[in-house]
Amino acid sequence: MNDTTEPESDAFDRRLDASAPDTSVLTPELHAEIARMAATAKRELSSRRPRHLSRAAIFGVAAVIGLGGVGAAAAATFYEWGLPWASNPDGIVHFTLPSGTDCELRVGNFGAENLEAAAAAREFAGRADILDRADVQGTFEEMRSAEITVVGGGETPGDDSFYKAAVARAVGLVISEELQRQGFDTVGFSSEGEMHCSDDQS
Amino acid sequence: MTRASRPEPADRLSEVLTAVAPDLLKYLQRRVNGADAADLLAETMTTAWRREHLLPGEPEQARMWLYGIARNTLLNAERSERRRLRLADRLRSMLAVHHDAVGQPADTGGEVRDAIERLEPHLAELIRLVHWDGLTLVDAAALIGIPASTARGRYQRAKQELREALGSESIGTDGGTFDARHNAGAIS
Repeated sequence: MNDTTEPESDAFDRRLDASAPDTSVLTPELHAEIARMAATAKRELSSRRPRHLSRAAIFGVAAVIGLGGVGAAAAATFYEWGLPWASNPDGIVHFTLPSGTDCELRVGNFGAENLEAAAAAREFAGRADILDRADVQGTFEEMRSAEITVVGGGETPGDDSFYKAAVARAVGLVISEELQRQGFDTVGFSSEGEMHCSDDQS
Repeated sequence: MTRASRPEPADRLSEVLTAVAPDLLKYLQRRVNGADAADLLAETMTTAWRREHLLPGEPEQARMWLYGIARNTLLNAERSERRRLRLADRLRSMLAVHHDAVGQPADTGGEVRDAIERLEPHLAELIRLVHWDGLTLVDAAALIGIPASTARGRYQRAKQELREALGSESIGTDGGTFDARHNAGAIS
């Protein structure tokens, strides 16, 4: 009898495996559509025509004040920061929205399997030229020109909303790219950011 | 002199995306509804193209690189409004039709899914990645961003809690071999 008895762990593993929610059967038609998307995504990305940027947005990119480490953070604190680490961040970015509103983005709480990668991220985030390296304008143009419909109500994002998101995304991306340039595997790398603006709406 | 026929990066990404995207779609479908999965897949693809220069050369790393982008896209979507991308229009429609046609068998794994849902989120996601998405524990750990040893401990704890929740009689029989099956079957 014993030789026909399934090990408990195998049976339990199978039970867990079988609990996976159903997904679509990948028919040839679905495969073809996914392949089309994979190829079209590149064209779609490059064919997105950037919309006209307001002078304020361009000015915002050019008028970056800078970024500093902890010392600068202490000098710049005038918001109430919600995340525990944000009062002592690894990097601070100041920028101006298209509307002229001043904002501050703080980044930190880097997590990575490789502790050296997290340390490298912290060091890079503290550099003064991180925002110069980040492609904020390109990211902003890309996000702004994408065909986006807001689902679930709410207001359609304006230039300021796109710009805030673009800064956060571009800064995150440039940190990730720097880690990869240094030879670190960024799969699983994580970071956090908190942003406040002088109009207190972010 | 003959040049080695090494694919250009753009060709490589196209190939890798085409190969991995069906699995990414399933990964997304197990976490959001079909319409959102279509959009998130489209966003994952456009992000991959934007970062094409970062595509790892090794196939397995390239695959996990795409999973990492998909996971970040998913996490970002959970924190913000869902977007509808034109690129996903057709797939969204197709998934709606396929979902109606296939459907979920009644009560298949529902009790287990509920138990997984009641786990702490970081434990639940580890179980999902290993048992739903078929990742090795090592890859799942890398994707989540934790050391493999930590993942191993969490996985044991998650399974223990699931056994207790689901009323399994035998506990702790697989402490040393719990991930052997998954780690042995490395994704390629």
